[in-house]
Amino acid sequence: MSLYWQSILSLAAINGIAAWGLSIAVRSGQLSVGHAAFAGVGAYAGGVLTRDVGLPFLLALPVGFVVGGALGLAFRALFLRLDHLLFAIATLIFGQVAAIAAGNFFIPRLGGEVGLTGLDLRISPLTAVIILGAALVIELFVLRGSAFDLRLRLGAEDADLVALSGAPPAKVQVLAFGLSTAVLGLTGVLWAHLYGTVQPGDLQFGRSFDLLVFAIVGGAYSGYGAMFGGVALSLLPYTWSVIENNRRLTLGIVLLVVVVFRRGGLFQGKPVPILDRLIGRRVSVPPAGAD
Amino acid sequence: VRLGTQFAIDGLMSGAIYSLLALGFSILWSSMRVVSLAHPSILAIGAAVGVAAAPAGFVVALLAAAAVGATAGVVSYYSAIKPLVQRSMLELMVATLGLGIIAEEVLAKIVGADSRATPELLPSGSWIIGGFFVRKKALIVLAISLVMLAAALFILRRSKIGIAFRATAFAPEIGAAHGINIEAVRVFSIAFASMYAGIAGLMVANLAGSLDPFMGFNLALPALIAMLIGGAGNIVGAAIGGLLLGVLEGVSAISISGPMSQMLEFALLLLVMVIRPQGLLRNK
Repeated sequence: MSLYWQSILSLAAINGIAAWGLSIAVRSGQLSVGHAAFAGVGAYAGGVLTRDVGLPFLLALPVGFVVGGALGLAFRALFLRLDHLLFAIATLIFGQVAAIAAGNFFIPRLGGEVGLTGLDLRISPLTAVIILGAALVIELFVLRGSAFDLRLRLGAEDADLVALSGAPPAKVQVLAFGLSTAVLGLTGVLWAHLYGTVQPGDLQFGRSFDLLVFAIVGGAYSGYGAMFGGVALSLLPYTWSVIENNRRLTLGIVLLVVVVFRRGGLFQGKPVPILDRLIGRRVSVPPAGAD
Repeated sequence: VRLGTQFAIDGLMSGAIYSLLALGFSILWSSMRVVSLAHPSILAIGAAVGVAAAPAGFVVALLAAAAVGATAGVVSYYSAIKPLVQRSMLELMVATLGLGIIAEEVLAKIVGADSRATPELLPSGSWIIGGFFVRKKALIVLAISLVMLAAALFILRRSKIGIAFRATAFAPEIGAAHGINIEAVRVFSIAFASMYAGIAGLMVANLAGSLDPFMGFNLALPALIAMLIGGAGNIVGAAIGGLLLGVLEGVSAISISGPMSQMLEFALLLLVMVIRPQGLLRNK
C-alpha cells in the first residue's frame, strides 16, 4: 500500500474514533460545536511530551485521554446551568478561544502560529484500526445497554427521567461530556503523530464541523453508526475528484439531507436482534420518532 | 480618555452591524425557538448581491441586498426549518448549519473563495466632529443601522403584525386560537430578520472594502454573543448587546491588538455565561 493510502486509511480510522467520541456527547443531548478543540489540547499535550520529554507514544495516549477528559469535565461542570442552545454556543466560543490561544501562546515550545512540528510519525493504518476496533468493542460490549448509557440517553429526553432512575442528572451530563472529550483528547494524540504536526487551525470550527457531520450522519444514537460515518465520510472524498474538490459542500448536503429525511442518522440505533443476542443484552433507546 | 472615546466611536460602528444580526437571531428565537445557523450565510449572500448591484447606485444595491436576503431567509425556512420545527433544538441547529455551509460553498464557487475588493459605494474620507475622526461611510452605516433598529422596534411594538408576532413568540397555540396564522407570522419574521442580515452584509462589505463569502462566521459569533448578553429572545436587549459589544471591542483594541483582544472578549463572555446564564440585561 502506498504511503498516500496508508495515511488516508489511518486518518479515516482516527476520524471514526473521534466521531464516536462526539456521539457520546450528542446522544446525551449535548451538542458540541467545539469538539476539535478538546482533541487539539490533547494533541498539544501528547505532542510536547513525546517530542520534548521523550515519553513513549503509547503512554502519550492515556495522557491525551486524561487531559481531554479533565478539560471536558471542568468545562461542562462550569457551564452546568446553560441549556442546550447556550451550551452549544459556549463550546463554539471555547473552540475559537482555544485556537487563538494556541496560535498566540507565550510558550515558544508550542510554536505559535506554526504549531507543534517535528513529532514522530507513529501511526500506521494497523495501529489506527486496532484502536478503532477497541472503541467498537467498548461501544458494543461495555457501553451499549449499560445503566450509564441508558441514563445519558434519557437525559437527552428529560432530566427528570434520569432523576427517577436514581442518578443525579447533572452528574450524568458532566460524566458523559467528560468521557466524550476524553476520547477526543486521545484521538488528538493519534492525529498529532499521524502528520507529525498540530496547528492552531486544527482546533477551530472547521474541524469540529467535520466531526459533527460524521457523527450525525452516521448515527450518534448508535455509537457504531458514528464510527461508520467517520470512516466512510473521510474516505468518500478520495473516491471521486468532484467530491474532493467540493468537500465541504458535499458534507453540508449530506448533513442536511440526512437530518431532514433520516432522523437519527444512517444507523439509528434501533435494536438489532442478532447483535443483541450475541451480546446477551437487549437494549437501545432509539431517538424519539425514529421509526 | 480621548483615545478611549475615539476607539469607542469606532467600536460603535461595528457594534451597529452586530446589532442588526443579533436582532435577526433574536426575532427568529422569539417566533420559532430556532437559532438558525444559516443566518450568517444570508449576510454573505446579501453582501455579494448588493456588491454586484453596486454600479446602479447605493440605494439600488441596498434594496437588492434586502430583497435577496429576505428571499434566502424564506428558502432556508422551507428547506431546513419547517420540516424540522417539531424536532429537537439540536437537530434544527445542525440542519441550519448544514444549509449555511452549503450556501457559503456555493457562493464561494460563484464569487471566488478569496476575499476581494469591492467598489466604493459610499463617500470615503472623514469628518471631524467635536475633535474626533469619524469616517464618513462608517457614520452613514451607523445611521442606517440605527434607523433600521428603531424601525424594527416600532414595527414589533406597534403594528398589527408585530402584535401577532409577539403573541406567537409568547405562546403559539394561544395565538393560533385567536385566529393568528402562525405559519404566516413565522415566514414574515424570517423574511424580516434575513432582510436585515442581507443589508448588514452589504454594509459590512462597504465598510471593509472587501467581499468574502465566509464573512458571516466571524460576525455571527459576536452577534450570537450580543443576543445572549441581552438574554435570548429579548429583542431590545439584543440590539443594545450588539452596540455594547462593539464599543467593548473598540476600547479593548487600544491596549491589545487583533486576535488577542478577540480572545479576551470571548473569554469575558464565557465568564458572563457562567455567572449569568440568563443574560445580563434580562430582568424578570
